[in-house]
Amino acid sequence: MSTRPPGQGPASRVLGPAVERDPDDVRPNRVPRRVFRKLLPYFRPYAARTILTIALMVMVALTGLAGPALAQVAIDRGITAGDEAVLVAVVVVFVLAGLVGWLAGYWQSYLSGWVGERVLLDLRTKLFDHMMGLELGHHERQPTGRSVSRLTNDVEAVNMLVTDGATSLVVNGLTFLGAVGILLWYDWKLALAAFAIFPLLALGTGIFRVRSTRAYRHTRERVADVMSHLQENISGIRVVQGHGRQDQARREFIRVNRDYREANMETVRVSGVYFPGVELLAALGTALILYYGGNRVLDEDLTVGVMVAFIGYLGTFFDPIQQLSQLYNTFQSAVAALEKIFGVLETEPELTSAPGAPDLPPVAGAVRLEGVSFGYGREYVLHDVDLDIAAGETVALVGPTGAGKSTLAKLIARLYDPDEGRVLVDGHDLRMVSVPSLRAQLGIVPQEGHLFGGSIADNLRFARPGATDEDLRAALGMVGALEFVDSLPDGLDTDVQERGSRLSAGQRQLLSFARALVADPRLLILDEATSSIDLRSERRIEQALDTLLAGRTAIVIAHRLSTIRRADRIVVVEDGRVAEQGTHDDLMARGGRYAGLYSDWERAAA
Amino acid sequence: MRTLIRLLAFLRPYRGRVILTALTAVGLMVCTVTLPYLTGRVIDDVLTGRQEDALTPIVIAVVVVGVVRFGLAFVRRYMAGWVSLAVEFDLRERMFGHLQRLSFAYFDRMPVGQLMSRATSDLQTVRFFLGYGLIFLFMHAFTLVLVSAILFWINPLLAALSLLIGPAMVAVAARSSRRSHPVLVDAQQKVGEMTQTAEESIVGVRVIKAFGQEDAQGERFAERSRAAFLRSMDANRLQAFYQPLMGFLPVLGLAVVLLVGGVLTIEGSMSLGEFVEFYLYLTLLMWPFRSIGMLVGNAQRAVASGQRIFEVLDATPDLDERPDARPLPAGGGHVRLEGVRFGYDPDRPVLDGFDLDIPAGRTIALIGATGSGKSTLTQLIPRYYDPQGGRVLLDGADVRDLRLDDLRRAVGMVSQEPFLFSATIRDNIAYGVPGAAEDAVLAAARLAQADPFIRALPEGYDTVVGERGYTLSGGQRQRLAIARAVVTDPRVLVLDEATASVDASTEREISDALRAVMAGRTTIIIAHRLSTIALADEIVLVDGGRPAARGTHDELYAMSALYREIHDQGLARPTDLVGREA
Ligand SMILES: Nc1ncnc2c1ncn2[C@@H]1O[C@H](COP(=O)(O)OP(=O)(O)O)[C@@H](O)[C@H]1O
Ligand SMILES: Nc1ncnc2c1ncn2[C@@H]1O[C@H](COP(=O)(O)OP(=O)(O)O)[C@@H](O)[C@H]1O
Ligand SMILES: [Mg+2]
Ligand SMILES: [Mg+2]
Repeated sequence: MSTRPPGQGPASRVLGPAVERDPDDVRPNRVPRRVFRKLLPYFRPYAARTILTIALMVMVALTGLAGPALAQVAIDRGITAGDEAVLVAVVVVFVLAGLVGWLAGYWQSYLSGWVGERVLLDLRTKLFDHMMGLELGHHERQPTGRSVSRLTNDVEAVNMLVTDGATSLVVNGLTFLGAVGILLWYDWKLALAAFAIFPLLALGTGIFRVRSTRAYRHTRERVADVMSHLQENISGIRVVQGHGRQDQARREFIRVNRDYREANMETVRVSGVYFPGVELLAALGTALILYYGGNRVLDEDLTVGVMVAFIGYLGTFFDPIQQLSQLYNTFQSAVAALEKIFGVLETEPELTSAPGAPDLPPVAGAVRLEGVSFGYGREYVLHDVDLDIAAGETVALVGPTGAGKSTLAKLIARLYDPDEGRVLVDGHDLRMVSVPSLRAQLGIVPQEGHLFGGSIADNLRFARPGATDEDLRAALGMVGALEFVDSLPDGLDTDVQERGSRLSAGQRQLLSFARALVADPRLLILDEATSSIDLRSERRIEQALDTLLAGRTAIVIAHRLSTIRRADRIVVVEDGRVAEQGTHDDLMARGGRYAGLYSDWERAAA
Repeated sequence: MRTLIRLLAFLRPYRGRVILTALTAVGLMVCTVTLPYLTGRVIDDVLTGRQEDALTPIVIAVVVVGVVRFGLAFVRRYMAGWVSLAVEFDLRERMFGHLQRLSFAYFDRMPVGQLMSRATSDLQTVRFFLGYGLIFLFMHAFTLVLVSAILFWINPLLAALSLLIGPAMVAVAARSSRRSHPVLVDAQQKVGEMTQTAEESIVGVRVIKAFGQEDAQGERFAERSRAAFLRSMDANRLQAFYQPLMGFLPVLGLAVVLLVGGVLTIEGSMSLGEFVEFYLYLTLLMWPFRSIGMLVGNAQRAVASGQRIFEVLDATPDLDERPDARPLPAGGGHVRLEGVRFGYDPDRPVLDGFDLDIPAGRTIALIGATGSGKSTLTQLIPRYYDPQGGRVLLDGADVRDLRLDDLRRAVGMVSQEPFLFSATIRDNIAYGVPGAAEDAVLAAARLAQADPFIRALPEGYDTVVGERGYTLSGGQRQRLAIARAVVTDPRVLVLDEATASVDASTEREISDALRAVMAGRTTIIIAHRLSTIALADEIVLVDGGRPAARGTHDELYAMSALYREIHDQGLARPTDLVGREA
């Protein structure tokens, strides 16, 4: 099964992430227009402001263009003609144009910032809500870093384009076009002479686009490698240090880091040729104008003012090209980011209720699985499971690890939907009722109890924000954690830190348990909820549960006999099937799997 | 300022290149300044002065200057890019290397997200400043001096008048950056909080879903996003005010030139060529004036980021190896704790005067209440933490005197919530022994009873486990962790509730295998099940930060009321229990 030539062992490649690509990093360029069309609806609520912003951009561009033209008038009609009145008038207009440009610039800058950020705020919250709505399976397939990146880096990349980029695009585009128009209007012959450098410019820009697209994509991929390597090595730093693998990890990181640096050097090279190249062309253009224009001035065919204006506009003509090319990278990153964002937004949640599904009415808690089959991937983990749990009953699921006990629990909580068959609560198919109404009546203590950074009280209140401190203390008391919480310097307000890392594993479990109790559910699912808790505490919890569970349905997954024996019924799960079920005595009498399991307990204890 | 100097030190290895960049920048500016001069010559000498044959040489000069400028600009960009990437590489490498040496206590305090943002976005800010910002600052300053000198040379009066806007611009730039800086920092902070919420929500999505809190969490996130939006709008308003203002001030300077210069030209005290030259030179200054404000802002941000980076780099590895650390002495894994006192917060000791001696090759079980310090105790042996009092000895040597890598390789830890890398199962098992032979990996997997389930996976040992191993069931993860520890053949093996999520049958099989593994090495077992505890030669009951009792099961049962209580309430043999309850 596992054959691998020697020397290609894990040493040659330390860990996966370094070579993992972000598969969502699609090639941009292909469909930018389509992507932007999808973004358009987000602007609709702010249509008036958007239009105003664009109008202001036009004004900014126009006042910018007015400068050289006014200078030309000043030189030709004022200075050369020796007319001071004209000169003064021109200067006044010049300053006025500047003032208008300033005011327009203020409003334009503010509004475009506002619209851009506002649109992205909407996009971001929508994206987040959508992500929360996606089924658990989706999140298990996606590394955390990637999802977080969608919400942060990717939205940020779009932000760069929408706020600065759009302004730059409109202003520079208009300036460029305006400069071309003005030059043609002044003197079309001289203009055409200056435009002689166009083909070269177009060719250079074309090559630049192709090469820089490639270089930037490469760089983005390498950056992603660096990020995931960092992320995993920092999250797993305790394992790295615990195994004395620092040097190895460091060597590996240097490799990833160097790859990134080399990829990025290519972008430096590409723009190192292109941008100075554009300036070179600008110098050539100046030379052309000086030569051809100079000769024509000598022939009295052209005024000095026009020639100076030409040289002035040549700048307003190359600047926008440079700016727009600079923008190209921003543009590409934004397209790539938008593709990824819409990729998530267009992922249909697999786990939806029928549209307008009614709320689940308050339930008694009878659970029924009918012919349920389910798999995370290609292969089924559960096969044709039938199970009936009466309201108020406590059922223990036992069986080997990997048998599918947790999976079964997750199906009942509707964290997944079965591939075949159905799950019913009080006769309601879970797919036919709204999800929040189901979850509101259900409490699950998952095997991996996760605490959020923040205070103990915040964590406990998670499922029921309205719970009073008394409720919290009652729940803590029930799981026997009250003493320990009270012994902390800040009591309920103690910050447990990221993932609850300030607590021992057992304490985390206790809090996760208490959190489910605060929710006060009709249906309680305990998935190895006490595996890391010492026996005395567990004993106390069990006694508390006896009262707590009265009248509620409970599904308990555990490996300890004392817990299992308390259940009304024991269900043995094996290889994704219900192997047998009944009370302890029934099952012992039958002499089947459970009896076997039981004898293992006995022997182990002997 | 100190931060700035420390940041500059990162340029030291590349001194040569930095100087080269500066020199090309100077050349570049000289070229750029030459062009308006040549234009002026065309107007004055050729057009006004009617020296027609001077036109061609001047035009050729323009082309030559253009080509030279191209060469210089390429070199400047290339060098600046090179240096900036080199600095980024060095800084990141330093940071990564340093993080590898920091103690567990440091990572207990520092959220992953914080470290990530320092190693990425803060680093970018610094690199842009060191690589490009400094050069631009230099270039602009140089241009300012050079062009101002030329302006004064052409016409001192006009120069003085038009340069009046200079101080105004610098003042506006300074004021703008002073006002925006705190707002920007705060906006960044808000963005950070939003990121934190995003990260937490994705990591905790199981819990959010299990309690149907998607909407509430969405509201929480929206609130953070809105706060970030509002704060960045404050920054936006400031920026919208100052930037166009910076665009407007130069217009005033140009207007002065047009008006005064125009009048001077009309009066004949200035030539038309000089006037045009002057005008073009002044436009050359607009960009530096505008940018200096921006660059000062960049410098401030770089210093702020630098501070955040140095905060990490300055964290002393309080658990560093001694310079004269020695290799592991020969031995069979004799562990000894002498009067150990330790607390994560030194004022609240978890262990208080803990004495324990475990002869080489022995297996002991630690039992005790949740939070009594069992896990903490075991973490002192491989020096994940250092005790505040007393000492820990391995084979007679204080662990603080030993080489850290040796020590940690000698102690195999299977922790309560094992962290798996998103790599193949094979790489995860072989983690502690890079290049482990296939046989060793298989043997370890078999020993941990992981082989059967691994083989049942579609891709066997090449299956990539998802992030943190969440695609495996709890018991499967634990078995991989056991295999990972066993493969290193450690002197001391710590099993911290390593089989808590494993069913009785599997556990019995693991126990059988473990008996073989434990032979010849010291083993510490933490467990709550009698079946597991039964593997131990002796049991130590931890209570109140000390060993409350120690002995075999029978001894303890006779000796300790606490043990009796625990035993009777849960550890008891099933038959006892059934018998009593029946
Ligand atoms: N999120 C997941 N993605 C893919 N496979 C999974 C996932 N969770 C569990 N499995 C697989 O499904 C099987 C059943 O797992 P589970 O229900 O967790 O077992 P247990 O009975 O120990 O609780 C195991 O083989 C496990 O590897
Ligand atoms: N990283 C940490 N930072 C601060 N306090 C901790 C940390 N880890 C554990 N503690 C505290 O130390 C005590 C002992 O924890 P631990 O040794 O994990 O207990 P257990 O006996 O359950 O293994 C607990 O009160 C816990 O809250
Ligand atoms: Mg499970
Ligand atoms: Mg522990």
